[in-house]
Amino acid sequence: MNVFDVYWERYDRWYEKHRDLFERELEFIRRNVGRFKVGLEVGVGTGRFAKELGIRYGIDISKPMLKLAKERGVEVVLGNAYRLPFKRVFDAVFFIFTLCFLDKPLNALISAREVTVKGGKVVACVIPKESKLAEEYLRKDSPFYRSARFYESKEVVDMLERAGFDVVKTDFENLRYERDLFIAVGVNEKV
Amino acid sequence: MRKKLLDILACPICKGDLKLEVFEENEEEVISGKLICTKCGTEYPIEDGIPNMLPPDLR
Repeated sequence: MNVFDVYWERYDRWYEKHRDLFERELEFIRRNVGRFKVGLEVGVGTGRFAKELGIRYGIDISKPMLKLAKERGVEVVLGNAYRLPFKRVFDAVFFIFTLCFLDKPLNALISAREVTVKGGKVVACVIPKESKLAEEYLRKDSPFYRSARFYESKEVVDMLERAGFDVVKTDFENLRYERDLFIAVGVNEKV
Repeated sequence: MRKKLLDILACPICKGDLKLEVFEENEEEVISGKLICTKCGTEYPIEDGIPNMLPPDLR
């Protein structure tokens, strides 16, 4: 049983309570990703981001969360990030606040490359380890972030490159503090 | 799951194509059934309209 199976309602409610922050996260992602057609979100959870960003497909290991994502109109699959059960069909694969919850984020990015078409993107959006927000989450002892491992922005870029993506864009946003949101966009050029 | 999803799904173990067996469906989607890999034979259940594509050792 993972933490999200138990506390998913609480996690989902955060987005209602902090609608303003959520909107800014969405705007930050939209601005950096641009257009795409067939999107997949790995760690889609309750589908909040997928729905708003027009990401059609989602995968997660938490079935209670997936049921809600499905109600929100996302086509969902229960599955593992390290062995994505898809053909090579996506032109954008998203990891939105997901890498920090994975034991082997590099393996997940490698698996993402296997389902991304040539010229397709992988998008990693994280709270960077060097930010004050990451420090705060770790100190707060939240049930979610107790099991999280934050990565520095340069570690995220390094992981994307090691997974075989060309990193074409990086950006920061000030959410609550300075530079506490980071996004990196990699392109799969080596199919 | 909508039947169209089958076009993009692959076996997580061997990436083989999948065959669909329907137990229950409505106008929109398959409610329960299973997906069977045509290459390695692994079976994946569909429950509550959601395909469980976890490899058997991780379920």
